[in-house]
Amino acid sequence: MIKAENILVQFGGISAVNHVSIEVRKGRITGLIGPNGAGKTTFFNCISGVQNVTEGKIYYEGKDITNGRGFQLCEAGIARTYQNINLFHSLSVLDNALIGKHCRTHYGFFAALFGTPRMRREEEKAREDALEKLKIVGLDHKKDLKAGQLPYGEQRLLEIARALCTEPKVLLLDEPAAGMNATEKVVLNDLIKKIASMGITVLVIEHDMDVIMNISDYVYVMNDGFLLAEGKPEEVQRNPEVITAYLGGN
Amino acid sequence: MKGNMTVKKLNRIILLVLGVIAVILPLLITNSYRLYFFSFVGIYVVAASGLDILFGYAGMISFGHIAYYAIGAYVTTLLTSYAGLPVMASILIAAAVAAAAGALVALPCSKLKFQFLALASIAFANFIYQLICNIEFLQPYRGMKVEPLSIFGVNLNSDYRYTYYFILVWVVIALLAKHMIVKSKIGRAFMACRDNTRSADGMGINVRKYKVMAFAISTFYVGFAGACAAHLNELVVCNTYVQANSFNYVIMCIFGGVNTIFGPVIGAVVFQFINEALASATAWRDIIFGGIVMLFIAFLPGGCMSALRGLEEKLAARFSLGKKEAASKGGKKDD
Repeated sequence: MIKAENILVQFGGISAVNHVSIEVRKGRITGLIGPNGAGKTTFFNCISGVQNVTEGKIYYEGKDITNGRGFQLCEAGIARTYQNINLFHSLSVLDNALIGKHCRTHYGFFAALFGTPRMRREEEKAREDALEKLKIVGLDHKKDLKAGQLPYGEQRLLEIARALCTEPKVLLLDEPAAGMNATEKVVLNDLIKKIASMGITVLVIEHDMDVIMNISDYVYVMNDGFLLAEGKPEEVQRNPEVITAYLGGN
Repeated sequence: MKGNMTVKKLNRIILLVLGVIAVILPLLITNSYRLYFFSFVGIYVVAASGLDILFGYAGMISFGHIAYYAIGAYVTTLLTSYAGLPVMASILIAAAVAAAAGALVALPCSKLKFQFLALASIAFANFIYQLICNIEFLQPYRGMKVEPLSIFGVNLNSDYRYTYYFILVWVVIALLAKHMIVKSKIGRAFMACRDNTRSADGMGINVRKYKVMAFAISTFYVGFAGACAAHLNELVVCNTYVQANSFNYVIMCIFGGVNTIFGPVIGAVVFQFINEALASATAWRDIIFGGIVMLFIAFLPGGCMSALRGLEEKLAARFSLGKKEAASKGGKKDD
């Protein structure tokens, strides 16, 4: 589904991501783990069009999308959430979800101005769909609250709902469990599995081992900008290099 | 939910009352200068609403909107005087030209951060002002005569009641159009760009395109206002268009409250009244406006609209509470 080949990202001579190759297979949940500062988010930003790569190629469904722009990639079917929550804080929960529907509604300026039947039909459909996506993450009853008023964990869920609204083929989750308590993490695990069962390919960044081992079909491990290991969760867990990277030691 | 319903009802009542007042105003006022004044209030409502689309919804500032007001005024003047176009068509074309100028300015400027955008807009306003002042042909200081406001060859300015109604109709159209735009996906895209450009991009919104669009729509409103004002005054003089006058629109938005349909309306009305009251004391005028703006920013950043909303919610809560009590009492009686 997504194939990243030999990605190099340099910031003024320092390599944040050092020749990393990753393949995200269709219908799977792929995990990307590593300690803080390993370059996971930078790598993610490359795939979602936020960060340009210095070298390397990224393919999506066979097409070259290297250094594509964020909104175009989103339209093509790659949606993401953010490690530092990036909601539209002053807008309602429903409006946040509706903004996710932006690239799936196609009426233009004059249709909006005159409120044509087409515009109303599309708006109605977008609204229904946004509510449905909010229901999936369990926020439909809070649709009229401001996004900034939600507790932290629910803001993360809203980010996922908003990303789902863009009708993605691939969903990139950047540390979705950060700041969540144990109960919320269980809910999140179920949610991610549910999303995968909807036919959406998932790539998830975590440094919480429990979460990632629980849900992933395949795991990549990054450390210091390098790809350290890859494999099934059980294999990776036994890998001595990974254990060293995580626990430190000799 | 119930509270919301009452607020909606309250809004409708207020709107209806204000609408009725606006419509019957010329019956109450016969003084032709007053009617001219109220027509001008309408023009400022359109201009302030335009700035609000940019400032309140899309989160971009402009301290140079007077430039588009000037473009609207001079384009329509030239089109009617030299090309012989009918006034209404000419006003719309002038607004479109102002919008095109706005879009052109926005193309490079949409990447600027807030404070730098403010500086760029000031520079552009000064540029346009100097341009006007230095084109002999436009008779900048003596002033250029403009055709009176007219439709189908009927001179509306012969009786300012007609002018007033003409402007009122366009105010309603402008507000309706703004309402349609901001509640559509376009308005949501504007607000997304305002709140968080990064995730707006991530959600499939072409940030640059929508910023330019916000600029164009906003400047269309201001250009339209400028063109109407020229035909209302029947004269264009360059010193109307000094950059500092741009702040008037910003002050109106801050008075009334941005990011609302009726905030700029209230702002424009209040501004014009204060302005008129202090017309003979220009120095005091600036001091008082400055003071009021500072007070508003410090204590009521949402403007009059946020204060009104708070009041309404309290009223609505009291109403629905009253109703609930009545209902529960009624229920008890039934028991």
